Amino acid sequence: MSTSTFSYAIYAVIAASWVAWGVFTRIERPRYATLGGIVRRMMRNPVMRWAVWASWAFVGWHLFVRGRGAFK
Amino acid sequence: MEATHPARRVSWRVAAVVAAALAYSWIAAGLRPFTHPEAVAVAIPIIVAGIATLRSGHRAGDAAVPESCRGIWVWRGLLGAFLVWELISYRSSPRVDYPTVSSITDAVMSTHPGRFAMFAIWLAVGYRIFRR
Repeated sequence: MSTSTFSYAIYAVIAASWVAWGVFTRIERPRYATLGGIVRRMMRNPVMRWAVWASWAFVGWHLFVRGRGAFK
Repeated sequence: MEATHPARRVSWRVAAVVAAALAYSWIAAGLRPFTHPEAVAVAIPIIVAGIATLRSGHRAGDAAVPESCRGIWVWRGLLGAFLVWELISYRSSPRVDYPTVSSITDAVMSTHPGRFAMFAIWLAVGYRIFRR
């Protein structure tokens, strides 16, 4: 297995686990914390609310305005 | 018969908002990175979300519905695994062997439809988070 295949496989495993756990928590709610529930909880905290906003803004700015060059 | 009118009106409003968001995404996706028009196109939703965040602060205590904490450690673990692998990839080279999320999305966003899809997803995620 090449290094790049291994790298992509790691991302795929993390993404698949993320989706699987997301589906499981949706089915099992309200027993388990869903991603939406965690975000709702974060949005109630004044500091975390702005952290969520900053994270979302960073993703948008980095992907669409700066491109990958933001870190070069 | 009368009860269907408000629902129809709401669905038309939702359809109009979705259409406007998709049109906005298509236009924004067509702009070139590193340019002022693209910076403005991305800054507008960020500012709107910032205003929504500011306003939600005034009614923070309203929606104090208890949420389950069970399984939060799994979410933390998944986020941690992603961040650790992203950091390892970012610090390693060459990029072709150690792709980061940015380099993977670059491939997706090399076309206008791909860039449009990413922008629309980003906008939809923001709407879901900040409309509360």
